[in-house]
Amino acid sequence: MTLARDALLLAHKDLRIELRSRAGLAATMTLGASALVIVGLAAGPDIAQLRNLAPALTVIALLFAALVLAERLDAIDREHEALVGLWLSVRDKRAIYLGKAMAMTVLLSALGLVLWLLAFVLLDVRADVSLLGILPFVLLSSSATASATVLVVAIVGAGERRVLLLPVLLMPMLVPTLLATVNGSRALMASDAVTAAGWLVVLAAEAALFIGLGLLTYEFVGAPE
Amino acid sequence: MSRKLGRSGLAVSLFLAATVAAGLFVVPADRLQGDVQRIMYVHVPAAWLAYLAFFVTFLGSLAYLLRRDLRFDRLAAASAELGLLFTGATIVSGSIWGKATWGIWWDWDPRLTTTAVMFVVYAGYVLLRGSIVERARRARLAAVLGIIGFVNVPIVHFSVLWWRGLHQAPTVLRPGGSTIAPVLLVVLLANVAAFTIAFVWLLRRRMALEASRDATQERLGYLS
Repeated sequence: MTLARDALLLAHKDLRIELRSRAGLAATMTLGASALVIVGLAAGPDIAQLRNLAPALTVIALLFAALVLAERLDAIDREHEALVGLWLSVRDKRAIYLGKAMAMTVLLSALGLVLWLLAFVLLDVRADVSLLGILPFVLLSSSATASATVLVVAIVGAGERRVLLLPVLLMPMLVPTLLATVNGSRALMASDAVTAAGWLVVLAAEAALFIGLGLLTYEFVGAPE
Repeated sequence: MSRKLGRSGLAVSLFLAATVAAGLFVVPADRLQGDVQRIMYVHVPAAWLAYLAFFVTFLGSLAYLLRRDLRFDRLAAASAELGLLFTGATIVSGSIWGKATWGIWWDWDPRLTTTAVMFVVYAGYVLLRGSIVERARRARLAAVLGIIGFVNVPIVHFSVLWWRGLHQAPTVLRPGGSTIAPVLLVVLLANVAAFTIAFVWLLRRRMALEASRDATQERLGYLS
C-alpha cells in the first residue's frame, strides 16, 4: 500500500505546513467570509430571499476560497524547487495528487463548515437544518472541488498562465458540483431528505469521477516545468 | 492555395449552401411552428458536429498520450477549434429560435446551460494551448484537458432526458423511431451530411496548417 501511505504522508505534510503558518488558512477564511457578506449585501436585505440563496452563496464563497487555497498550496511546493524533489522522491506519482487532494479536502471542509456557520447567523438559515445534516454535503463537495482543483492546478502550471487560466478552466468544470451542492442543501432546508440523499449520491459520483481522472492523468501533467 | 484544394473547397461550400438553402427555402414549413422551425436545418447539424468534434478531440488526446505522436495532437487541437465553432453556431441559432418561440433569447434550461458550460470548457482548452510555448508540454497538458473536458459531452446530450426543461427531447434518435415528417427528415439528414463533409474538409486544412507551423518552428529551432 505504498500509494496510500505516501499519499497520507504528503497530505500530512501539507496540513502541517498550513497549520503551522496559519497565514494561508486565515486569509482563505477571511476571503470566504468576505465573499459571503458582499454577495449577501448585493442580493439585498430581504431575509427570505437571502435564506433561499444561502446554499448558492456558500458554495460560491467556497469556490473563491478554493482558488486561493489551491494557489497557495501549489506555491509552497514550487518554492526552492521543492516540487522537483518531491517528484523525484515519490515512486508512484499518483500519491502526490492523492495527498494534495486529501489535504485540500480537509482544509476546504473546515472552511465550508465555517461558512455554513456564518450562513446560519447572517442569512438566517432555519434552525431545523442542523450543521450535522449539512456535513455530508460539505465533505463531498469539498472532496469533488479539491480533486478537480489539484488536477487543474497541475494542468495550468505556474506563473502568469495560472493567474489567467485557473478560474477559466476550473469554474465550468465545477458546475455539476455547484448544482448538486446547492440543490441538495436546498432540499435539506426544505426537509426533503429523499431528494437531498439523491443529490448526495450525485456529489459522491462527481468526487469519484474527478479522483479517478486525477489518478489516471496526474503523471502526465504534474511534472515540474 | 493549390487548384485541387480550391476545387474541393468550392464543392464542399456548394453542397453545404445547397442543403441549407433546401432547408430554408424549398421544403414546406412545419405545420405548428411555421418558418421558424427552419432553423433546425442549421441548429441540429451544428449541435451534432459539436459532439463529433469533441469526440474526435477526446480520441486524438487519448491517442497522443498513448503514442506521443504530434499528428494526434494536431487532430485534437483542430477538432476542438471546430467544435467550438459549431457549439457557437448551435447556441446562436438556438437563441434565435428561442426568441421567436419562447419569447426570450436565453433560458436557464438544462440543455442550454450545459451547452454553454461545454463551450467555456473548450474555450479554456484553446486558451491553454495558446498559452504554452513548449510544444511537447502543450500537447501533453492539452491532451489531459481534452480527455477531462469530454465528460461534459454526454451530460449535454442526456440533459433533456435527466432534467425537465424547455428544450425538447430527442426527435430523431429516440426509442420508437423518429417523429419528424419524412421529407423534413431527408433534408435534415442531408444537412447533417453536408456539415460533416465541411467539418472533415476544415479539419484536414487546419491540421495541415498546424503541421506546417510545426515544421517551420522546427526548422527555426523553436520546437522543443
